[in-house]
Amino acid sequence: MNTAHSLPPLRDFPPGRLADRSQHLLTEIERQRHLPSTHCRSVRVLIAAVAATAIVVAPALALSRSMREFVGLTSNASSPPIARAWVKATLTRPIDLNARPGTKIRIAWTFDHRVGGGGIFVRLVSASGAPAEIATAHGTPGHYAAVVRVPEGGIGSIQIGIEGTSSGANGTHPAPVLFPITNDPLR
Amino acid sequence: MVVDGNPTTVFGHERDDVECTDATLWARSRQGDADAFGLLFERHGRAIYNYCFRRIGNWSAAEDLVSIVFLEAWRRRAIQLPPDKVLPWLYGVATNVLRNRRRSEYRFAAAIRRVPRPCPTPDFADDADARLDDERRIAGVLALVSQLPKREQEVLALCGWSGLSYEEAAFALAIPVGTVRSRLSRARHRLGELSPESGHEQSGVQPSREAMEP
Repeated sequence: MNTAHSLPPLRDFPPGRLADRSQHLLTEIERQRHLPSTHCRSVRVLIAAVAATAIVVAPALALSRSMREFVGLTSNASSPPIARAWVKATLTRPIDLNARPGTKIRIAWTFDHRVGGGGIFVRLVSASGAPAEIATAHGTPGHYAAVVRVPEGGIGSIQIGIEGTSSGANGTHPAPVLFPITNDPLR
Repeated sequence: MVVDGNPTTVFGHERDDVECTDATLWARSRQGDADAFGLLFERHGRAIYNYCFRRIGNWSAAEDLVSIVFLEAWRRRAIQLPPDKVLPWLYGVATNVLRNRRRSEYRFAAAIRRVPRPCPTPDFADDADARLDDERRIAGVLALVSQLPKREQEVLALCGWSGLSYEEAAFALAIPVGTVRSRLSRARHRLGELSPESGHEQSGVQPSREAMEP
């Protein structure tokens, strides 16, 4: 029998990949668990359509800015959405809120649920509106840390999130989500 | 992500997959226990990984297909399985995923895009070389086997390559045991005809002994 055409041997996953894939599977399962049902999504689409209509019509009706803010569609439009509330981050070391711009500070935190899949980051938003500084987190699932530069104007707010993408009619684009910080010193 | 946030108390005690049978893990999975399902993945992922590789001939794609198979299995977790049929059922899910590969990949495309990029491992060169050799070898086998009808390929891959019994393959494919026997018999016969020794060579490759003799 010609061994050149025999079946190749059974092999394990490449080093580390079984654990990676296992973590990915659990993350996806948890993601699916919290996805709204088709019915809920339909309702949300309807609400979004009504809200979009409202924001377009509002200027024409000369509604006040406060009214539009009440609707919740004016401010923070460029900010990443807050991640679903079932995962929260808790800072595990104090942060020097008065650190000088340009200096590097270490931020450490835990999640109350295991979060995996990579792409976890911390972002320091400038107090003066200057560009934010971002750093990728390292650590084991549940415990993360990152060293990040203080932005120009000092620390205005701290954001912890995970990179993601969103697919829609306009294609796939980055769509990071943020986790609430239970002990955010700036709130 | 862990449901209760504490991976060491999944079942109320230290996590121990040795004592948990497939049936126990599946029962817990059916109740929504993702960690139990994760243990099933760690237990059977390798088998499904090799099965997918042998069907498509590409290790990298096989890795993604394993993820798809288990995501599909989780999606269908409401199904009640006989105690000893979890692995055969997973083979069945894998067979369906392979059969409907394009649709499955579309369904779970977003999930696959979220797979973390593999970290480079310095000592992986030898293994990578062996895997490339695997792909060359399996390409020869698949060139031969692809001349069989799809349904015979499936039976051959399950019984001949993955070691499932006739009964397990029948369960995986949702067909009678007798059909498994007859398809496997026909597959063997056809492979015999296709082998060079028979004088009916069509593909220029020889069947493996394993492929011929489960």
